[in-house]
Amino acid sequence: MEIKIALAGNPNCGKTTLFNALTGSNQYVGNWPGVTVEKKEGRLKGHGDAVIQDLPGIYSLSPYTLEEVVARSYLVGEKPDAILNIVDGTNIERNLYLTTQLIELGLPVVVAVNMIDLVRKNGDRIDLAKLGDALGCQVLEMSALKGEGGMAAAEAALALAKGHRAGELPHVFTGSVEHAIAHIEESIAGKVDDRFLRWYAIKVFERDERVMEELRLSASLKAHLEQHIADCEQELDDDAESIITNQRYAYISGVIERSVKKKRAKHSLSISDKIDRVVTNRVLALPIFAAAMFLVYYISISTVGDIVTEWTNETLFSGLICGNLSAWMEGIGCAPWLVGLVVDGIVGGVGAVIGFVPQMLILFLMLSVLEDIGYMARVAFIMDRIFRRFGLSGKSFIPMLIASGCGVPGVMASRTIENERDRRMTIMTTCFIPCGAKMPIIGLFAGALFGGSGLVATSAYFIGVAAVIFSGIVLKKTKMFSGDPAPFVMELPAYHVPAVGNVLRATWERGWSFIKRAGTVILASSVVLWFLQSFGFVDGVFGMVEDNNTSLLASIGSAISFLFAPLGFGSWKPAVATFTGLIAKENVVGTFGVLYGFAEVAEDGAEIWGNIATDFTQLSAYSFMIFNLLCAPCFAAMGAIKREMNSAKWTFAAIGYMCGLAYLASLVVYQLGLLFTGHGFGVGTAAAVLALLAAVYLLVRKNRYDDNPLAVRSVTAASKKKEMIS
Amino acid sequence: MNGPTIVGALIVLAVVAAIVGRGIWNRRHHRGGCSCGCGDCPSRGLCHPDK
Repeated sequence: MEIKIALAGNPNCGKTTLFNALTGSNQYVGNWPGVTVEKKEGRLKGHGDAVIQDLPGIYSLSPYTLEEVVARSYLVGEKPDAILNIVDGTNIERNLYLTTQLIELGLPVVVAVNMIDLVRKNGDRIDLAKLGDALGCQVLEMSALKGEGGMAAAEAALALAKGHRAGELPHVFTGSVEHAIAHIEESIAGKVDDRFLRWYAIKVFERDERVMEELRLSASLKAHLEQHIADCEQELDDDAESIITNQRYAYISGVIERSVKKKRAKHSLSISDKIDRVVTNRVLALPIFAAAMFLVYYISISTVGDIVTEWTNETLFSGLICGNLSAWMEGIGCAPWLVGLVVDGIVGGVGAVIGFVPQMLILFLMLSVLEDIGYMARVAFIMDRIFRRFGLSGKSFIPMLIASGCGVPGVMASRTIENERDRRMTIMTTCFIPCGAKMPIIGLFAGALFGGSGLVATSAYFIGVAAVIFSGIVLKKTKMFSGDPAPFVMELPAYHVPAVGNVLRATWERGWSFIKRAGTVILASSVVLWFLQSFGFVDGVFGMVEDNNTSLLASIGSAISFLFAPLGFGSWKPAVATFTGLIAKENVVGTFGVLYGFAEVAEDGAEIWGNIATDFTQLSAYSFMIFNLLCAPCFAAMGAIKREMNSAKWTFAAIGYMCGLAYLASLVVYQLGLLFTGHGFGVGTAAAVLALLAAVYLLVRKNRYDDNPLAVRSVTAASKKKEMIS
Repeated sequence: MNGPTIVGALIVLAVVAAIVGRGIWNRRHHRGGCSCGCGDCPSRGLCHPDK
């Protein structure tokens, strides 16, 4: 028979790291809370009959957040055979709050004190035997990051599950509260599984709506129990939920006092606190973040990444693959059109994209390191301060962090935002942050037209952030999105040395999927593009064309290219690339590879992307980059937006907004750029000035839907009324 | 058309057909679709509850 062991614990306490170690899975391990939104399942290594369930991180079993609902539904509804409760040893007091609730569920529980290495490093001591005696269950130590003690804890939980041995319930509550809970237990006995009696009784005491609904108590019994609860509230002068919370913490304080010895004085600063004083400082936080992102992009695009990418493009693809493949195919007698299809189409398109893999890997590696050491969680905290000012919650930044890898999970991560208006706005703005697939576009233009400038690459990231902030300000002033942003509470993890396994796994997963897409979607797309750009009508006869400007693709591209003329890239090739980018953003580069003759240029020994410079100036290239970074994301991300919006109207609104903002941003940059570089004032410039003025107006106009001034006004009115009455 | 051209063209055709076919199969079975790679995606289960 299958034995189910649930991994439960606070957010960011190391559950997923342990899950991966126990099951050999490759689940994403993020160093910020809320990474696991839904439960995941895997078999315990060496124990084929045991299934480990990785639950989302929760602080309590109260159903306030999506994560808590998922975890609680599983624990109470599906009843695992045992719970392995992961407790962050460096924050043991707060973590034990959930532990006491899990024990009350009446299921076998093993507590694993994680990060024991950090506890020791801090000079603290946890007496596991005393802690176990107080909690009434087995307590073990472990370090998920170092791979120590995890399997022993899982095997202990397995043994408990096989023996169906639940621990003793600790005496958490006292006095009249304990009396009332015991009375509730008697009253609901028989209505619920005996093992869960205690937990249900406490939830009834807390007036938990879901539990009350589930129990369907008679009106007379409800009134009777209500009397007991009300008596307690009157006696302790507090509401029922707070009474339970206070008594729980009082109990935990006693347990901690007996079993934990802290070296540091209670309010002294840890190393992480000291680092945070600088890193999250009101003045320094933003410059440090900007400098960190500049370094990340500079190293990945301009230095190490550039060298490796140049080698991949020039030596590997152009020299070795294109040159030899072309010669070989011609040697065995392949028709010129097939040589063209394979070398210029497939190798040209796929090679153009693959050439940017080294830059991408380095970027992902550095972002993974920043995340794993705990810095990205600080960035969410820093951004909350800024976002809140502009009407967005810091909660919105977590999807944006995830979206720097791919927009699809970024959009889906918005599910954790409870406020519907904030959630919609987050979905609309998440894809502004450059995802991995947009990296080749950035790398291409930074390399081809800006000499590998790190500033251009970094600016791409901050243009995304600026678009999010701009949207936050503007949209919050509309009726549809008005209202205060949801509060954002996030625990900042202690800084630690990055786990090599986690970092390399995250980097490789992202890089490998990029390579796979280049070998599938980009390859197929390149073949289609090659045919369309190689065939056309010459003198009324359909056939291969010498010049791709007379091809079918040129005709299609020219029909839509006028739309982009005011943005500076009104020729058919960039227009086609913009549209093929909807299949996958890296396809923009693949399309350029086919259309600008990646292989041909390389054979001549000229600079790989030199041909692109013939169709772009630095200004129009920057405008093209902005448009492609901000406009509608790829079809997969659009699908995710449709799923999450659950409304065709909102989906069109979101995509329309992105395209509109992208168009206007590019228009302003290009046209004003032209004006400032001495190209005179034209119709386009006038349109750009109008767009800029409109943007400024939308930014500074009064918020008619701001709740706070209304609240102030109503208080003022009420006090005036009071004065008049008196 | 000579032999190598026919064989080469058929290989290219087969590869493209396989890619398109696989894409359609994936879509029908609610698999894949994003650039992040599902193994890396923190919300994988939302798209693929069967995995």
